[in-house]
Amino acid sequence: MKNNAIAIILVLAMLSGCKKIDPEMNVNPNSPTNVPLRTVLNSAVVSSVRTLHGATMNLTYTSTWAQQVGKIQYIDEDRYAFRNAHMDLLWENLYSEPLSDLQVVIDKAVEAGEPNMEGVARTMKVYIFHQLTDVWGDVPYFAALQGAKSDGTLQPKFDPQSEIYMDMINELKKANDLLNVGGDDIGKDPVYNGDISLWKKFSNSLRTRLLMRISKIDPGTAQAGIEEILGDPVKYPVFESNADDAQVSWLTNVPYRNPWFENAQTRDDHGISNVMVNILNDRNDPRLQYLAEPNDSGEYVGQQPGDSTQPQLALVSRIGKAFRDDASAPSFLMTFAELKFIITEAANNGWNAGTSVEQAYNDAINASFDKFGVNIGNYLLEPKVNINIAVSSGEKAQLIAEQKWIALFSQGNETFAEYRRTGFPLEIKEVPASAYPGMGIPLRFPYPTGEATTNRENLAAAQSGIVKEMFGKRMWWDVN
Amino acid sequence: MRKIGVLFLLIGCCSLAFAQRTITGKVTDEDGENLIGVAVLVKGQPTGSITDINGKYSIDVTEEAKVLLFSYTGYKTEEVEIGSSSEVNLVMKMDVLGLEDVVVTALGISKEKKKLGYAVQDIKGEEISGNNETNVFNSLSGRVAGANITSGSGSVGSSTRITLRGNASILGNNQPLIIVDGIPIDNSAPGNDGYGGVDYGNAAADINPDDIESVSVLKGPNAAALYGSRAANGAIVITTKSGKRKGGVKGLGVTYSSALTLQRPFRLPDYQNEYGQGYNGEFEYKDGLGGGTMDGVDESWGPKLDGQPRAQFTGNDPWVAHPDNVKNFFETGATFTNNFAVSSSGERAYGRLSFTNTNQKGMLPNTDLTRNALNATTGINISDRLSAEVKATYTQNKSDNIPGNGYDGVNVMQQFNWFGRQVDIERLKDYKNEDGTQFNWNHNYHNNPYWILNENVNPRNRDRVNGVASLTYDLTNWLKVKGSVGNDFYTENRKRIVAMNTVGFPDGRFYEDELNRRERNSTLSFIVEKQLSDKVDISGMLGGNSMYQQYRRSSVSVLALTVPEIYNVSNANGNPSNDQFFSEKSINSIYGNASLFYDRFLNLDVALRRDVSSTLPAENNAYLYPSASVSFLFTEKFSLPSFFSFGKVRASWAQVGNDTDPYQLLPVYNSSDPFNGNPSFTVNNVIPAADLKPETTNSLELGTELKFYNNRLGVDFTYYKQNTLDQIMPVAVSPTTGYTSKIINAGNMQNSGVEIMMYLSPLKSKTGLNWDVTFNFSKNKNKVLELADGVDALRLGRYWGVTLEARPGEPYGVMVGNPTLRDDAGRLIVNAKGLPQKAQEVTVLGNVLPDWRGGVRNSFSYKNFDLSFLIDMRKGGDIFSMSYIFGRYAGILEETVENNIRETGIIVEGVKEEDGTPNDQKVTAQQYNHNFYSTQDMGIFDGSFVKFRELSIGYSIPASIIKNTPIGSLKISVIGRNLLLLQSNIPHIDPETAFGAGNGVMGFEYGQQPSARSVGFSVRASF
Repeated sequence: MKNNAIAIILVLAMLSGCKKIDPEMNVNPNSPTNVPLRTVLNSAVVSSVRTLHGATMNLTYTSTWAQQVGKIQYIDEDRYAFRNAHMDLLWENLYSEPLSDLQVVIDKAVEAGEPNMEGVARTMKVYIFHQLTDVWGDVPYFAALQGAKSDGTLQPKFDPQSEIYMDMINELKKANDLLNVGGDDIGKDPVYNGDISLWKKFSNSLRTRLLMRISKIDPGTAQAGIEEILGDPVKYPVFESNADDAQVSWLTNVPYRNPWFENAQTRDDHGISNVMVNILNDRNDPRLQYLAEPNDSGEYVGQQPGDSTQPQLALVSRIGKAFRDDASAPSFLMTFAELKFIITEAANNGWNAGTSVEQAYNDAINASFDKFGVNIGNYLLEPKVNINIAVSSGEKAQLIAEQKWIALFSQGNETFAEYRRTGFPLEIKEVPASAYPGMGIPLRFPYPTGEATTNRENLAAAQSGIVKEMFGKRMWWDVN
Repeated sequence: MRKIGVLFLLIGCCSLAFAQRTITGKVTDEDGENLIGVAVLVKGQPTGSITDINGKYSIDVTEEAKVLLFSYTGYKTEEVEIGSSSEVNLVMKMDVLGLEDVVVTALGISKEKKKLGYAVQDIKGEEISGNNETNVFNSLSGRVAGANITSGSGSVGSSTRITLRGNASILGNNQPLIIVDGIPIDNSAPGNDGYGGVDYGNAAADINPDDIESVSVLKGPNAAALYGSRAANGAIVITTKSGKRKGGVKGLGVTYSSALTLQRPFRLPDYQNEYGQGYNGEFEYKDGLGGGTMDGVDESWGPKLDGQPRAQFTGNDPWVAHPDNVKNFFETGATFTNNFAVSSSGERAYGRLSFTNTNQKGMLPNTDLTRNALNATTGINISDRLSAEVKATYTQNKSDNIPGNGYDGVNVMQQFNWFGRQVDIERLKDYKNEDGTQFNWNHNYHNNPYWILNENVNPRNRDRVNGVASLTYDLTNWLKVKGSVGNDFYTENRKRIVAMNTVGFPDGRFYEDELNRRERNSTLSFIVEKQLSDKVDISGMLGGNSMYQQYRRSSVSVLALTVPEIYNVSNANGNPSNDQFFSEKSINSIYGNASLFYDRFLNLDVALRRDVSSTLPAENNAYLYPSASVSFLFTEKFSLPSFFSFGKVRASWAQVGNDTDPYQLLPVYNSSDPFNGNPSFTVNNVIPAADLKPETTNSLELGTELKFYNNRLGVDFTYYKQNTLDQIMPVAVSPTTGYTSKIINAGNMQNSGVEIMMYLSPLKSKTGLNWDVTFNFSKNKNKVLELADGVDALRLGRYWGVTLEARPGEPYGVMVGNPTLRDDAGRLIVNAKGLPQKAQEVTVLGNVLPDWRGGVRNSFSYKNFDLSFLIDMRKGGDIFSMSYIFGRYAGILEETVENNIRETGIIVEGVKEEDGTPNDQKVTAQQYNHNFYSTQDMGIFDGSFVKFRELSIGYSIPASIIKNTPIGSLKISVIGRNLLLLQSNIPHIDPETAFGAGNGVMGFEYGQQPSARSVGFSVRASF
């Protein structure tokens, strides 16, 4: 009997040790393994706009380096003394958040046969990627976003910007072919609330932006592309009024308040620049009152970009209330006014844009005033505005670029890119207290240092030719 | 019916009477003094007695009894043959070094230390409770060779990181398993980083030092292999007091102890007191927001403190220095601990009940910690064969406010770095205006420090119950079976409050977490102990264990309040955001070990364990790992000169397998707040691995123990080499892959090193002066041999411009970043403005792991007095001090006024970039010091130090004084901890520093909350 008891206990002991483990125990009860694609698209749109139009990338770097904004506290970045951590964060917030999400949406939409979902995701992917390459130049593109696939690389090589641009242009063309009003429902997205016809217009308008960007380095492709789009509005619809603008309207409550507003809740680091104020004043531009706030004495005094020390805060004009003090103020992805400026430039280049330079130019400025809700008055007749006074196409090009620079206010990534492409406005100069004296305006963002840990060799190849992180190597499309 | 039969059988067993006789005797020491309280046992029987005040004992023995065992702390245990005499007297010999020490090894198996084939170090409970440290690990500092103990700060409740023999895991847990009474105790700590947060402390800080009987430190996998996976980093095995007395001696014991410890900051930065707040020598206060002249600035580059009236936040006051403004902000911290314990030991049962209240008031205003620990143990011998024991502890660990740390406004030290040196902190105490807004020296960046500590509080409450119930049945006199169930359960509430009108958070906010952890272990084991012949003893065990772990978290964030001061979800302005998390895991194991002790000189030990884990894929979830050790007591075998008292060599090899966390195998989506009512999901950033296999640690250990001159000199030496292979870790991948990390199975990390303990007793006398010296030394060499394929480096953490990495060929934890640009001769290459600049190439800048550690303790005793002191040192271990860089930037440190730099400016010693000629360009002090931000490697310092760690003085009131009182013994002591920094290469801060207990924060420092220099007084009485 004693032996029996021992035997029973032994068996029990072994059972407690050998008991089978329930495989269900390791199934994650907190997060799903499958979700509707529209929820992922939602998240990608919001997270991308939040980064691309956020206080770091758009306000502290690109709007500042395009000298529309001047830093008034923590002025290091205005002197080109960037923070490495910012670069890593922006890189990560774009690649591993919206781009990663959009790649999954594209792959799954192809699999499930949802062309509208696929087309919208491809459009957004290009929208993000072009801004990414516009600041960093050569970046991982073709082999990027494949990390979770069995044959995907963990160390994507950096592709030449020229190849990235060609592919992005093709992607947008493909998106236009995919998007089909009456096709699959993409849900209530934050830009167009599911309206495919508007997504189609945005996709084609965005393609004109990309084509114009490469117009100096590859005029043939640019002209052919833009003429193809503008020549067939039925096949390639584009924005027809401000009502078609691609924008995300933020909400009044956290966590989805306008990112500039959110920043201004706790920080007071950004003023309007004196370059901006001077350019507007030189043209008696009434938009000044919309884009800037008077200082404590009621005057418009812009901040000198990259000064050696920070200013007396009471003396400086801040950014206009509409951009800074409204929680639900929209972020503009692309506006009708910008499209009109692109058409103007196309016409000025002598391309078939279906309109005259003067007409398109005036339409563009009118669209900008309408957008900002400012009465245009006799502005078009101002000497430094009037296109009819300009004789050569070069002079016209300068006016177009200056006006586009003003109209693009709050879209720093675009103004910084357009400044580097066109070289206008001429008022933009190396800041007096540059951390890189004599080197000029930065040509690019420094690469994030995290890549030196995770993708060292490919990064090193891409860095060749770059001097002091931001100089020495221009964007492919930036031909001086 | 059958049950009753069994019961009768049991009763019959124990009531069987044998013929008995009584033996009496007297026990004295070598000087003829009576020894009181010596345990007298009959070998092989549960009968025992104890000597009285005259050293006399009386014991009833049966005819079977052959040998009496005498044991007494500090003396050699003796075995005396009874023979036919009825009187057995004994002179006991002192055992200086505790040669016959019995130590607790893995799975609670007690073994004679001399037999062990691996290193174990034991510490007595008194050594730990005597310190009055609230976190038990801090007391191990300087006592354990090979232990690296880093305390977060001197703030209440801060966490302590402990590693034994270095870091084995690249990204996982590197801390040892904590076992209390055989049950693993959760020691998780919040993943604190340097960018702010609250250090809620490591969970094992709940352990009450006053209830500890002993601590065994099992330093590596060799000693701890039987505990399985989680003990790959070694184990700290704590046994709590039970009330059980040796030999079943009857009696009631009452002890009371009370201790008060006072704390002051150990080290504060050396500040300059010549210049006040501002920029470019200018400052004029208007609104503290930039409305005046540079009055939004939080740096001290303002006008010289000339004593003239100047507009300030307090009015038009003299512009003067307040040199002690930061120092006076700190209060004297006080920890008051009272412990009351009763224990009783009878023939069939024993028990102990203890209550400890610890009350700590922090050095920072309005910070506190209260711990109430109720500990109960009871054991019953149900029959001669069956015994039961239950141990249970309830602990409440509560704080009304734990201070925040890191680069964040929650850390008050943040603003003492970004500060106006002229600020009179005394004037800030009245921190709130009538309208509820703040009164402060700056409103642009900072909150009034008293506002932070009084309004923005971080309360925490943890209720914990842990305990074990066990039943042991002696099947035969050599085989017993033991079953036990242990539980560790706690629930914790954490809250972070940000009041309305806080800078940066005008609407206020709060976060609340409810955490719930549970672990259950059910064990059944068979334990064999048998003397096979005169020469061969065998022992062994075979057991099974089933472990189940559960974690539950429920969090709510309210990011704006409707009305002030109500921190309830109902007061949310906008939608509160909720988050829930649940995880569970289980491991089932079987294991066994066998030991053979041959002819009193050779011991052989083998063990095997098999685990099945729920976290691994079904095809790989079972893993088996063996270990073996041998020890050879050569002084027992060979006759050696008489001064050679004891000699042993030992060797062991062990393997330990390890699993991972739950839910690492499948890709998932994470939800984010719905946008405009539309749900949002995002792809999780971690690439899962569907085919994980268990990781493995292989460890080899060799050692020797030598004792000379009747144990007055001893050495214990250990060499080890340990490799951890196939580590399961999330490696950071380039975000361009679409993900930020990938779970992989790879890598090989090696730790090798030596541990040396030495003892010396230069003076030894029963009546005169005694002097003992203990010396410990450890050196660990770590090398990352390989990472995953195609992975050149792994990022552990990154703060400002410095990254902490694991790189193949380098030690774990190298600091990597851009060095300051220098030419081949090491001269600075300055930029066009005449300022130092950083190089574009990223290089290794330092290593956070120390080269070696050591400590020397000197103990003296003379009659009723004893005195001991401990010097503790560390060589190497780099620290990146952002306090230094930002302290220079903000113009608050002494260095920023040295050599009249503010008046005269400086020409940086260096060469020009374009032609290598000497720099001749002068810069201002402000430009020069601001520039330190671009050359951050100048903030990396060697963390070596020598510390006067501890001084204790004790006095036992002589028995003659208290003999007419109920008090049995009374001891008064004074103990000072962290007394002096004798040597350090790092300016301004305590080189022992950490943001928290994780891997990625090692070596980084900013806004350190000062550690404490403490002086404690204690009274210990037994009745």
